[in-house]
Amino acid sequence: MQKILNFKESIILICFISLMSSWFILPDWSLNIVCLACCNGLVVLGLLVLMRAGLISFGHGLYYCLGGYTVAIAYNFLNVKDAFILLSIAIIFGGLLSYLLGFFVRKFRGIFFAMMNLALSMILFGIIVKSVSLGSTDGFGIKELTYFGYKSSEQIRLHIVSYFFIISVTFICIFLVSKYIKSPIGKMVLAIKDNEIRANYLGINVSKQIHNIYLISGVLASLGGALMVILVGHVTPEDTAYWTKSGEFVFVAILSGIIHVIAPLIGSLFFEFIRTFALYLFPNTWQMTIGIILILGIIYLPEGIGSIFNKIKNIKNAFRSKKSL
Amino acid sequence: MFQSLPFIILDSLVYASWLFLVASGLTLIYGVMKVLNIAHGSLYAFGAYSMAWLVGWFANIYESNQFMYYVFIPLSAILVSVILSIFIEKIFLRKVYGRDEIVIVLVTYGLFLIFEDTMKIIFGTSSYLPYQPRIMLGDINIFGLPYVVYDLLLIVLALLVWCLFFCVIKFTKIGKLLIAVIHDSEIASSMGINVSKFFVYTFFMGCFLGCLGGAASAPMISVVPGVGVEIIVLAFAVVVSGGLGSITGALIGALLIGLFRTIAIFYFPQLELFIVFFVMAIILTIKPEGLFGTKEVRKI
Repeated sequence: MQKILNFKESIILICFISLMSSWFILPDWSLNIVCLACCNGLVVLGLLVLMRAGLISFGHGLYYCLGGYTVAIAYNFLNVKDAFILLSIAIIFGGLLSYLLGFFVRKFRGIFFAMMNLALSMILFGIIVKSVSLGSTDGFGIKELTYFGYKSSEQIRLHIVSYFFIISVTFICIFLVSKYIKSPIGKMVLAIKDNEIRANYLGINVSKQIHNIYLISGVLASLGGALMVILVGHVTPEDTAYWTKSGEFVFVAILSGIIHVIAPLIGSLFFEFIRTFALYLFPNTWQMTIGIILILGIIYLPEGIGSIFNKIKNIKNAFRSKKSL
Repeated sequence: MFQSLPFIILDSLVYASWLFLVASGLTLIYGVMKVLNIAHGSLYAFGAYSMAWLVGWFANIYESNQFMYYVFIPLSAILVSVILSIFIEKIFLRKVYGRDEIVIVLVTYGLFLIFEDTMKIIFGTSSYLPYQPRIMLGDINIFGLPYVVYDLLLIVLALLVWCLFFCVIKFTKIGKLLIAVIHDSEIASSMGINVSKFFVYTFFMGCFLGCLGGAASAPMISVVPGVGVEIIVLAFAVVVSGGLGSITGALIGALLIGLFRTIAIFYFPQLELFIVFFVMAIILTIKPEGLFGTKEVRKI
């Protein structure tokens, strides 16, 4: 019998349904955190795509910031009010910039790749901080939005439509990335990680593949930034393009691991809740708490949160093989 | 336009020597241990804080004996680096040697987060201004404008550090062994070199340099929470554009970045934040492994 959904896709579907229904279950204060985790999870998903080639960018705050600023500028100067159009503009600009920068960045590997991205994001930070017309360190704010023409009567920013909008966009991206990873092109990237020169001799155009994944991750990160602005309503350079934010993304990416596409979302949900509780319980030492969790995670969970799913799968397979005997 | 040239050169030299003091420790640790240490920024901040605290404490108790201030610079650096380097190396880094470079960077990032809060707990959040050592030496006239002597001494200190490194690596037995460890630590240990001992001492040396940079520059800045966050990205820019693991590269990188930043401040102050990383990006586009970096041999 042909299965309709395989194991990975069914996990994605379960997570989607449970997050959608959590609007009716979870308390109000936590819904905002869930949405924020979705926005950051998209950036981390982009980092996952890069990490499958063994590359880590210490500067994806660049695209996060770019997406956010594109939305804010389009809203304030071009008077675009629809969330969907705003997202499309952010995708276009994020894709354009990551395509152009990809030509520079694709030469680098390892620590130089990370540092080159760090430099690029700090350049953007420097530009925005020093340009008064872009709001300098204060950033931009946006007011109420429409969703496909629908306008909420409520004054609050997070209502049922915007919540479903953010969650759906996130899961569409996760689904597309999972399709990409399973395709032959997506599997090529793992070969590049294992041995670049061999992959090259086998006929894979390595720099083109790296350029592709850089483009994908840039688009995902700018989408995350755009959603963040739609959710929060404000964007500042300090919270998006500065290297500490990029470090946070890498932190979540390392904790999530590259085994499963849903792991970035779960990792960033975990991270946002940990941060919220740490801020609440230890207001003076929340950074320390996060640092300790990071180090413990690296030492004791070396393959990331995603490896938990593989463990479940192994148990399931073991169970099934026992049954067939 | 050209009458400000001497000041551009002097300012950039001071700034470059400040950068070099911090970056040299970072590049040394990377060269030997392949650890890009983000916690280096915290070490800098710890050095600055302990220096500021010692100066404040001493100025309250003893009015005379003011030369003691200068003893505090190496004293606080040694004190902090002994404690912290043992803490970091023996407890944390030991567990992750051999993992991916980026994972080790992340471990030091976690340590950096921990230290940020530790500093706030120990020293509070108010700013410290240990200006006394800088005021005491006074000014001298250079080309008709007064210039602070302490800043000029920083250049001497940076040069001293570089000369010391150069001589130790070139002319002593320890330096030769160190080069062997840098080149291939596995072969070196099979030849009978105690590599883990080298790692401990190198890490201590690198931490000492970071703390020294902090302690020496404490009189020039106001020591507030977050000094480490700013310095570490600048140090990264210097180290990466100079070539990871090369002390001379760090010196040249610091000089270049210092020069361009000072020119930007004098003529286009809008570009101040931007220029450091722009220079780094340009250098990396021209020479992807940094100015003095060695090209990695890729194995099939």
